[in-house]
Amino acid sequence: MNLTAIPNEHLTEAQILQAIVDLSDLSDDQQVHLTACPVCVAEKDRLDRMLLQVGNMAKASVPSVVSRPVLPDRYPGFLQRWFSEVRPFVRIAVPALLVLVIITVALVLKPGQDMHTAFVEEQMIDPEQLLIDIDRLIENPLPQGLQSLVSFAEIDSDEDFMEYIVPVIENDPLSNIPGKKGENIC
Amino acid sequence: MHKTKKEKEINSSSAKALQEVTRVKMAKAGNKEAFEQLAGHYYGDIFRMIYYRTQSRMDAEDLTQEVFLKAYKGLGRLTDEDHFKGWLFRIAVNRVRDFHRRKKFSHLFKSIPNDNEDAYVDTQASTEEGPLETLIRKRFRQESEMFLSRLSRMEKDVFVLRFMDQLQINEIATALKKSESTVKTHLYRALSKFKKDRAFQDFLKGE
Repeated sequence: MNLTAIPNEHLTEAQILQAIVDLSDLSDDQQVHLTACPVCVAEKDRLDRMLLQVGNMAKASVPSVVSRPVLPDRYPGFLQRWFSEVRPFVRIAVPALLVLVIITVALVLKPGQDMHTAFVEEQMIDPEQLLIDIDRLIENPLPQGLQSLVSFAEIDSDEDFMEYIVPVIENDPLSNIPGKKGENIC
Repeated sequence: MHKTKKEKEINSSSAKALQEVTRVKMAKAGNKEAFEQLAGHYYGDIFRMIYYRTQSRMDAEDLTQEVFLKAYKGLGRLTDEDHFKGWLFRIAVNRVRDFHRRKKFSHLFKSIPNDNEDAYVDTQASTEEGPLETLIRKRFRQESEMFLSRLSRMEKDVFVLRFMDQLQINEIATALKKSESTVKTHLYRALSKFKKDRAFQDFLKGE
């Protein structure tokens, strides 16, 4: 052993600990000293041995392993892998963004409203024709085919028939409802 | 001669590392067999790591299964194949933290006696060992817990990962998502406390 290569001073306690943490953190001189100085080597070895003992005893205190991990038969699919790979906030943000996009698109396009607007616009093209149609409806609310079955003019002029439909109280022998004479029940 | 032996060791370890990286890449590409090989290699390490922290065989087995399932599903997230071991331990560390959080929460609602000690003895009784070994293990657990209780959470995590789980500094850094210098600082502090703990050292020396 070349004792002249050993610097006079031994490594401090802190340097020994530093050597245990990571030997390369010591300076070159200190590393050389640690390989040659029996006192420092003994101190480092003593601590190393005890730490190794910690590991060995910890290992021995664990029961033997019998089982093996059970993996699913199929390798996770793209969506499943994506879902487990992305960060949790992305997992929430992406579907939320999709919903937002769908709502926005629905609000902007509004197909129902567009059709309605188009219909009204079409009707407004010829207002005169619209007024003619309304007048026609006032005069003849029933379609042509039904008008032949019902004659409103005759019914209006027949007072007996109207009294039969809506009788006046004093003429109604079956009615017990108190009311002014000459007043219609309805 | 000595140098040749050392060189051989280095070559062997780098060949193993290369083999592992290849397996991780294959597993990432969807090869289930490659992942099963990786799982078989690390199952014991992960189980031990969880067992130290839960002291329950059943919980350790369940959590280990969860860790590998999570790793299998999330393998695509692993960017650096070299860090597979550290990444696997990170999943395990997080699962153990979740487990303790859940346990703490459930203890708020029901009073469960501390059955860790009994569970420990039960577990040991099932293995083939004498009463002396059981006693030594029990004492080791008591002494180590006493020592670890003097450390901060970070010091404890780093010390246990380094000396009980026997991880390298870079693997601990990956597992805890910290820089290597942070890991070293906490490990140094933990070692200072270890050096001052005469009782634990005497026990380890067998006195």
